[in-house]
Amino acid sequence: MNHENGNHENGNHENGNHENGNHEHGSHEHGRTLPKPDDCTTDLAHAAPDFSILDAEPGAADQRALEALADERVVHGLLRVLAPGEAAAIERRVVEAVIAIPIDGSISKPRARVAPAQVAPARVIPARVIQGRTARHRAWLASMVPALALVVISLFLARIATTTTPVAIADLPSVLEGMNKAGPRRYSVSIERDGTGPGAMREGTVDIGPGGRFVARLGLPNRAPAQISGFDGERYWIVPPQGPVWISRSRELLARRGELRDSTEMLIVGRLLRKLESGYDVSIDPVRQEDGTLRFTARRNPEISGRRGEPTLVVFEARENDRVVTRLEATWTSKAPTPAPALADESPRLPGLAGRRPKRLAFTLLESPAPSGAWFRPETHIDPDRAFVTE
Amino acid sequence: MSSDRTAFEILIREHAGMLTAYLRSLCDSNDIVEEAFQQAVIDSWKALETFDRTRPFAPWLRGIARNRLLVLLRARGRLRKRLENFEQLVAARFTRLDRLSGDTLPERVAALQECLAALPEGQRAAIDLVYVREQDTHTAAKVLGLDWETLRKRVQRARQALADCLRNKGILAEAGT
Repeated sequence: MNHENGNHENGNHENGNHENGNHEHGSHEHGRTLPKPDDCTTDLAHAAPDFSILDAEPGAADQRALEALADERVVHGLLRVLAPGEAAAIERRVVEAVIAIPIDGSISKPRARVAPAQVAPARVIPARVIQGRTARHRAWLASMVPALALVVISLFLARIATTTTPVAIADLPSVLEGMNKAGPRRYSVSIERDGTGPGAMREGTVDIGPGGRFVARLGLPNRAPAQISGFDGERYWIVPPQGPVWISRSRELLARRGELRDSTEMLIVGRLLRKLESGYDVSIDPVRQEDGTLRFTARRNPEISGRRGEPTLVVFEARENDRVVTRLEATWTSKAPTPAPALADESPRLPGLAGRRPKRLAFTLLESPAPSGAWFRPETHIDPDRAFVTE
Repeated sequence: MSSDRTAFEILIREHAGMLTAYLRSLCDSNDIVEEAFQQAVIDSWKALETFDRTRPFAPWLRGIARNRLLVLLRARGRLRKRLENFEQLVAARFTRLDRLSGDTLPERVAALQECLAALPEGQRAAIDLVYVREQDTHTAAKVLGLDWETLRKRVQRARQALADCLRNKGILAEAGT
């Protein structure tokens, strides 16, 4: 082993550039153990360099600390993009961005209820009013784009700032970030739609992995899973009860051929919460439970016409220590709009669920072994002789 | 028009990795990074006619992304007091990174891989778990038999060691330059 930079590696002392010389095993950090929750300092999963010194008053003495922070942040940025799954994510961003450029050049932007931008546009860009909707916001699936998650966070924060304690303000962003950054975990899930009989119910498990990976195994109550679908970081896939296995780099596959059609991505707890877009008037009522979890409630404003298929009420609980959601229940009232009609319908599905209005969706975190990376790949779930169809 | 879009897409794809790294250097929110990235691509397409083709593309694109990022942060009341000044320090480092040769991002930052290989075992394991295997720090700490704070400090020291290594290779700017 080539021990380069030995001043950092052998002792327990930090170099003191901007962490004030704490010992490695110390946790006092001037009374603060975690970075302040914030839109840009919540990357606890990577223990990212803290931006807090940027809030300090300018002073010549801390220029070295700023330089050191810049170095470390650049290293952090480079390490993030070199992660194995990041290449696919970057490709997705490029494709989504290019798709969002209309042929006629008129750029659009999703409707949002946050305050408009208050600084001048880029110096190289002619100022231009941006209105309308982009292609990626036309469909229900597209409502899960990151910009809308920001709207959700803004709404949550704006609301709780006036209705709850300061503790709650700090809690919510870390819950949302916890859902993004927590390790692989498994939830039991039940889905109920309008009507009666076993055909209206689906039960199963959903495994959540990093980078949006998931595996959903659903079937009739008390039966073996009939359809398995997932995302392995690069490919969306569906293993239907019979016929070929469908694989695509587009998540629209799930809407076209999945058992739950456009509702499939509601199975991802984090994404479900992020659907609470501008059609909602969100209120958060955090209550500390006896078991140490925090309880949150999000309600849709009945006076606001919601987007198709969005739940009326979402109640969830998150562990206080790592902010992982432990329980979640989403419900739809009878007046909730019917989900968008399915597109092409070529895949075999179980009887009874298709076309029905969603009524209730519930998750509960299970204490089961965390799934490995291979679990999220379709090859893990199918007979090797089964045919693949790639879209 | 179509060929222009295709060429633009190729250009964006070439710079997407570094642009993402730049945005992640300034912000940890996935949502804001994704939004700033997309808006920067859209803005750069709109402003392409104003781009001086005798100048490098990457700093121009970064400038657009920078402004988008600041717009997003300010609109949410999340703009830190000295972020704009700090951004200049980060941008200067990426300007140096622009000079590195290579067709792909991993090729261009091969020096970082060399520095990673030179880290002490404990630091390398921490970086591997947190950044390569994308384990959250709680899980990574458990795997390494450390408490969370110790793991956090170890990751921090590893990043600082990597920065020192890159600085020694002339890739990151010396302090004050």
